[in-house]
Amino acid sequence: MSDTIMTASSLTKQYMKNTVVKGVSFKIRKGMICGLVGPNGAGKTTIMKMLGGLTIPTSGSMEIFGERDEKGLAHSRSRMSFMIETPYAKQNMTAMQNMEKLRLQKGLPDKGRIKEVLEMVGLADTGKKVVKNFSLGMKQRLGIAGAMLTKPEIMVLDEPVNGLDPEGIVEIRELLLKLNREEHVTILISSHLLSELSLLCTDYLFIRHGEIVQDISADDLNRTCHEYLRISTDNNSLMPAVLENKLGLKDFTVQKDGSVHLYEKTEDIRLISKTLFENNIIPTEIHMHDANLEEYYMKLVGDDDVQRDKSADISAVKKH
Amino acid sequence: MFNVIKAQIYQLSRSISTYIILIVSAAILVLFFAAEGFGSEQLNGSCFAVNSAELYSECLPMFAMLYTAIICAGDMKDKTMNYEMLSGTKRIYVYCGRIIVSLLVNTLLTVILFAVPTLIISAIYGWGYAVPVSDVILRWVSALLPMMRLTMFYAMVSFIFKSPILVCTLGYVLTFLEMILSLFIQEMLSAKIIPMYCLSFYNMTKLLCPENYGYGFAEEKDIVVVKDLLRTSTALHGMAAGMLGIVIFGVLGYLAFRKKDMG
Repeated sequence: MSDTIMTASSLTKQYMKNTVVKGVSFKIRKGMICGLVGPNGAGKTTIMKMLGGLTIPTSGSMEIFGERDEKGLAHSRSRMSFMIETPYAKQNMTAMQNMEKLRLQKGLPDKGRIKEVLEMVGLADTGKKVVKNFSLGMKQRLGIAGAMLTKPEIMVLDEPVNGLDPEGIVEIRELLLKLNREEHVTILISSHLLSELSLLCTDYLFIRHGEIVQDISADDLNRTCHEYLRISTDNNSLMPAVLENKLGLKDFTVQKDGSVHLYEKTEDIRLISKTLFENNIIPTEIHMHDANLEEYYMKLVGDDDVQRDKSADISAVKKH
Repeated sequence: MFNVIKAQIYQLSRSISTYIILIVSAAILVLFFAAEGFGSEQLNGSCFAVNSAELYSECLPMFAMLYTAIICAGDMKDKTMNYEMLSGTKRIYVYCGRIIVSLLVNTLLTVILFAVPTLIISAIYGWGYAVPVSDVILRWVSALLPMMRLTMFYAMVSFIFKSPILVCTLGYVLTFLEMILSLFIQEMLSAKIIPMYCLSFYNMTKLLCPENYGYGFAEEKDIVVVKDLLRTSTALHGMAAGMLGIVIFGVLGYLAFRKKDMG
């Protein structure tokens, strides 16, 4: 998880006077499943389009697989797959014909791969049904099949579960996890379905008004959003040792002001207080903090954005 | 680029609209010919070639416009062209691939719509005496360049405006204006000037359509014959103007597409 395979440095996109992406920088490491989270209009798709070469950045640069210039980036993109906005689909062609066209366009010799990917996404038996008669979910799955055709090293997926039914969402999630775990595909995935991403991502980029407002790992996010006890004492420097040695607690972090955020045994407030007293440490604050992903998301993207993006499903976020 | 071409040809061969346009085009031509009694009292290969030239010079560009709009703008509208760039294909290849396919398809269209009926009629009724075979071949071969120039023009409009319907509407209006301008210059200014070749329709008509006819006598009857065979200088002027147009529209189209943000 340490090698960086994609770097964006100060990417900016301006349309006339409207700056939709403002100096965005981030790194994607090999093996990551990185969630690009933000409300509609935050700039997620524009960032992905710049990575894919569909939109020319107003300023800033990117490096993919060590390549920085246009020629090199084009080569790097041949090792990636994208699904941005509209899934790949010619409306008057069947699923099989669409995949065959994509195979020819990508210059892939293996025709058998088409059947494989269509089976993976459950579209192998659509026969002569043309795409315009597909449901939204089927079109979405066809787009994912197209993205998997080349066995990419990185997949960039823009809202891939949009329009899918719950069963379809689970299938796609499991498929992406399988690709990540078994074939080591690195995934950059955007969504406003935070609940969905929380079951998938190893890292998150929170975006608001075209700016990355938080770059955080899933572990850190879970830790931040986990229930914890905030403990302040008159002798903060001694407190960690007491918690560890006398109570056997290990899952806590020491904050800059010396206070401790304790993530385990948070229900044992009396025992913790008693032990601290017995060791001549007087608690000045013991406070249960009950943050969750929903609060975190709202704090990051702001109320105005959350209200604007009514569809953002943030209520069902799994608490860890 | 070769992959783009292969994929485009596959798509066209699987698309029902490809065949519908071809059938409708042929039907329109047949209707026109039928309405005019196939142009003359005599029906043979040479008479058909002479009498149909003007109709072809007016209709073929319109049919070519439809194919070019589908090939160049269709994939932009449904955003499948985006996936070529996303898979690492350079924009120049995406552009040139489509241009080449458009040129190939429109050349094939010309051959099918003109050569096939001419050959069939010649096989049934003979060639006749209205015009030598060599003159017809020279006219059609040299007229392919203005045809390609028109294709490049429609491709340029396609890469700028993205929508096949918009391309066809705009292409039709511009083509119509050019026809009027061409007629106006010819009639009002009696122009015999090189800049006239800058107008694609003038160029195409000049190369395809004979201007002077006369009567000859063959097989014991009077027949209409073409008096002015295509001069080499006219063919060269037309071809040169065609090539120049191909380059100009090709470059302009690519400049418009090169830095275009794909929506």
